[in-house]
Amino acid sequence: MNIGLLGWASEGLRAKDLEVSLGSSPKITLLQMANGTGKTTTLELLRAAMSGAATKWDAEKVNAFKAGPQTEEGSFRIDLSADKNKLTIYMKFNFINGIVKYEVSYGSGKSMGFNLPPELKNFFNEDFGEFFVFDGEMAKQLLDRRGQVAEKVKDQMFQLYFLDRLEGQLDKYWERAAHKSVAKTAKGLTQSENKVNALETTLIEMKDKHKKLSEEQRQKKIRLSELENEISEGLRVDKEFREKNEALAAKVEEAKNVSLMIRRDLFKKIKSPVYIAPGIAHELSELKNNLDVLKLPDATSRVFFKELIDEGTCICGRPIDSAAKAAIQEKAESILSEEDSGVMNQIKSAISSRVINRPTDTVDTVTLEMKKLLDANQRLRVIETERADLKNRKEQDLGEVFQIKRAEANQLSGEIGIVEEKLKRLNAKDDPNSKVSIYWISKSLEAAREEFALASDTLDLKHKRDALIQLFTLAKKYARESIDKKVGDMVSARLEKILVNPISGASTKASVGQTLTAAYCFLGALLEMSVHQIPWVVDSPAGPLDSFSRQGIANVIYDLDRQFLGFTIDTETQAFVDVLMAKPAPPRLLAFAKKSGLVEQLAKDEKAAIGFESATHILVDSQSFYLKYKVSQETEA
Amino acid sequence: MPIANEFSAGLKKAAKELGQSDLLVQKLENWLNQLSDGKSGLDNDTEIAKQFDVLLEHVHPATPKED
Repeated sequence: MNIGLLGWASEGLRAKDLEVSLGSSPKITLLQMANGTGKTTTLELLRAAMSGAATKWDAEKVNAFKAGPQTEEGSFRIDLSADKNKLTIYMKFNFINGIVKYEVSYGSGKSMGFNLPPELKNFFNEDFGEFFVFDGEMAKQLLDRRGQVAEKVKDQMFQLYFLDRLEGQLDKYWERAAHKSVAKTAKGLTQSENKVNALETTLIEMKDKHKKLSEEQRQKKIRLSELENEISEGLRVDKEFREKNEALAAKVEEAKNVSLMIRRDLFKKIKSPVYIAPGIAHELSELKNNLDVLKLPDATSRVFFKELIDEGTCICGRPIDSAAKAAIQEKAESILSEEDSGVMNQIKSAISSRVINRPTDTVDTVTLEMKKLLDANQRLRVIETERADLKNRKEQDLGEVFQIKRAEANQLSGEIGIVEEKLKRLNAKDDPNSKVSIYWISKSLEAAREEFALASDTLDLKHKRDALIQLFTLAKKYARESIDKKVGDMVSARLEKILVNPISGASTKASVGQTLTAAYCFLGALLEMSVHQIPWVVDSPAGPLDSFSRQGIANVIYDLDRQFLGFTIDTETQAFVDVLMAKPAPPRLLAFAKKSGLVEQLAKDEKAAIGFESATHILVDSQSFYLKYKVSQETEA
Repeated sequence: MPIANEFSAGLKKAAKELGQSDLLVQKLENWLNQLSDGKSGLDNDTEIAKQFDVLLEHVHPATPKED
């Protein structure tokens, strides 16, 4: 399937009214939208239009899209191409009733609701829709160590999700067969069947809850990240604060390193018990003394006696008869073997070197190191508190707007914590009696199905179902491994060229830029391998990257040769837009600007084409305007 | 559009390891290709039942797990 984004239009919504047409654009389009022009809302609407997600929105969520308190309705439309057909998806907002209605027009047909033909359903659904729009939060999730999101992306791109859907259908198929059998044979199986049905319902509800909580967590994290950025930007304007803050940040880093070094040293030492408890050293010395008393020369080992039996004559010259042989054989068993002697000698040697001959001040050393660690951690806390105080004071100085933002950010952090706790309970595997663990409810369901199959005389069918599910699971595993291998090679090759400081295995945390770069390469590799062409919509493609990474990412995007739409801000021009502009097929550059005398004058000077105009904003279709336009020009001199 | 090569190879490898027949893989792959093409959907119970009837005919049952 070859899917293209042809344009979109929004009206009466929190995102400013705008109509964008990409029909004749080159592969890459960059749309500059300053903060406050509805960039985040537009991205959310694009995602919702392509996934049908708004059918599940509640009134509160719907009303969050209102342009103003008096707005009663609004609309969003997205135009796409799907192979050779035109696909248009409409979202009609009714703010009085708090609902969104979809309409779909495909080829020559039109239907109400999010009803798509089967060939499109594989792409335009909630699972796939979220990957159309790529942002910093998704980048972080893609590289999450647990890899759940990365797995999901791969499953979507390579359609491995079909196996999950077939698994769901297979369960229904078997249950229908079992139900028919029950109906024919007995009436007393209802209880068993009810148990299966109840567990299935619970599991569906829990999975649904998990999905909703994950989305809530994602949205809250996006908002929190926006707030933190806005607060940081506000704080950074003050030079004196910036310098003090950076100096304290450097001190925090230094104090963390000192603490880490002491901790490493300390842990190395306390691995040996004698360093922390002198009594153990005394007992071990006693053990060695006792082993020395045994005085077991090598010659008295069991092997010596066994060889003696074979000789026929004792070392004293006496012949060894069968009775003597039997006696020697019996006694030899109670003598230590060479292996046992070896172990004993190793123990003695270890006690000598690590306990008896250890430095005499070991316990004192550990005590001293622990005190050093406490001091280092105390110093770290003092500097962190000093830095937090500096920020708090500055935020207070910045006024009410920033205090409101800080309060919202704090509230969001708390809410994210609660959501994460709920997700943790749903994901838990440690308590078999848990009533809220997806894992254990699945296990109970499997047991209930087995019981039902046995009772309904469909055990053979159940075992065939199990075999097929086993095949699905293993096929998914092998397909993922093969994809991982290819993607891994492609990502490594690209990262080597792009990252100045590669993310080392020893590093505990990659920078925001490194995370974004790696996520780009990962998603880029998947898009390149996939047989389907889908547009790649990215929020702030070069935002947190250093200039070297920006160039690399620009090359990744260009080489991918797929439709790319980047939502940018004016600070992303250097080393990113520049690089793309120097390519044989440069991008189309659009800027959505708030009307002002300076903005209109600049558009006139650059002879820029106006793509759309509302009472407050204009969409300017001009490379030179895009490159010269700065948000500050929105303010009249 | 048929399913991706990596997907198809994963199916074949898994079937071989589990002692399932090439014929089963062929039937399953055919169905998956139809789903990928959009020629078949998963919203028609009768159609799904027919497909599973065919598939299950070629499946060797799994040995029950001992807990």
